[in-house]
Amino acid sequence: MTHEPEQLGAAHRDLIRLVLDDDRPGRGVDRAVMAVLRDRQRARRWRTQAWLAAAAGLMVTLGLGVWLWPDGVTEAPSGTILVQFEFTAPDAERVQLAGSFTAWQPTAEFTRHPATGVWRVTVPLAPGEHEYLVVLDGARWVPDPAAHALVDDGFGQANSLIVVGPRGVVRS
Amino acid sequence: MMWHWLMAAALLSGPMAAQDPAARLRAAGATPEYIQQVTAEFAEAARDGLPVEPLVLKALEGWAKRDRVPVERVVTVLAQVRTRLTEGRELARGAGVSTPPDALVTAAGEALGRGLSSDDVRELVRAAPTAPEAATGLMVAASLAAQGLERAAAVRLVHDQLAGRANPQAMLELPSALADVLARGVPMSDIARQILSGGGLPGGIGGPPPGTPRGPPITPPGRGGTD
Repeated sequence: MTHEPEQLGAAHRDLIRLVLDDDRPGRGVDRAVMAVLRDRQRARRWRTQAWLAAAAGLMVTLGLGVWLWPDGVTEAPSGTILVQFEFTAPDAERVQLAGSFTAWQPTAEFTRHPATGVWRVTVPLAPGEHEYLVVLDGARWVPDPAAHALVDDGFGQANSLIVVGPRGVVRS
Repeated sequence: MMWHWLMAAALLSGPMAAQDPAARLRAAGATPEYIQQVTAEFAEAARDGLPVEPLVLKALEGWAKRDRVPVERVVTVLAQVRTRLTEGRELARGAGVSTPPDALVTAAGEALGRGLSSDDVRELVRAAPTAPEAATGLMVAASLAAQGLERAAAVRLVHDQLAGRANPQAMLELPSALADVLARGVPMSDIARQILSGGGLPGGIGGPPPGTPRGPPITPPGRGGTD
């Protein structure tokens, strides 16, 4: 093990101060050496814990990022929460989302996962309830089977309903 | 991909919602004839001091579904929404909120549209510490009922949350929590029974905090409401 001169100097100063401060005969050096060793061990433990905490934090952040923002979206606008919608439509050429949060315009485009064929889109939604439908190939408006509920749209059909909480949406 | 994202974000932003309703309909591609017919309902609502936003959203939805929904039907639905908003406002006033904010009137109207009774609405408004919390509570109760939870249980669950001064944001988690419990295979009837016995959702979610007074007597289904 090697020590930088400055670190060595500081350790020596601590040791000397502790020895001089201890007024009991024969006890000062032992106590002082143990105190310095304890300080060093504590500092080493703190450094190790700090590194572990930083690494864990990074992994959690990356994990959440992959889970919440698989479409490459990185940030939700203020006051909104990113919500991912998934839809299985193997024969569709195009899948869009239209709802109260898009002024009912099918502007949110799903992208198809090449391996699974599942369509996904992530949109920022304000906490609260939202009605929506999935638009297949620009023509068929269908409900989302994974929504919280279906509600009467007043026009003789049903809209999908989700309620977004502060932690997002849990959908089975 | 990104422009869709940006558009969604823009649509969510406040300034868009604050825009002139006719301009929003024009932006959605609505014809002048359509705009003329639906804006008459908006004007009526504004004259009565009712929130116009629920009507604008319904009109936008009607336009988006124009292939299947004739404009006459849209106008009829707008009139129904307006009636429910009026009733919701009166119920909120009757429950002690002399000047109900738009969010509360909207939530009360929606709750009535989703099958909550007048008594349910009044009870939840009375239980809420503030008008915004009443609005959240009504919305959540209506959503839980739409998920298939017995109306009395939905109202009781939310009532206990409001009476227990639960965080209103946490109340918004209840529909997800209910979906989660259902996905684990718990029958809806068991869930309702536990809620009505004061235990909240299975798993301890949504139960009243210790020391919270129990909810009001719950009217059995089929005998509820004054409507």
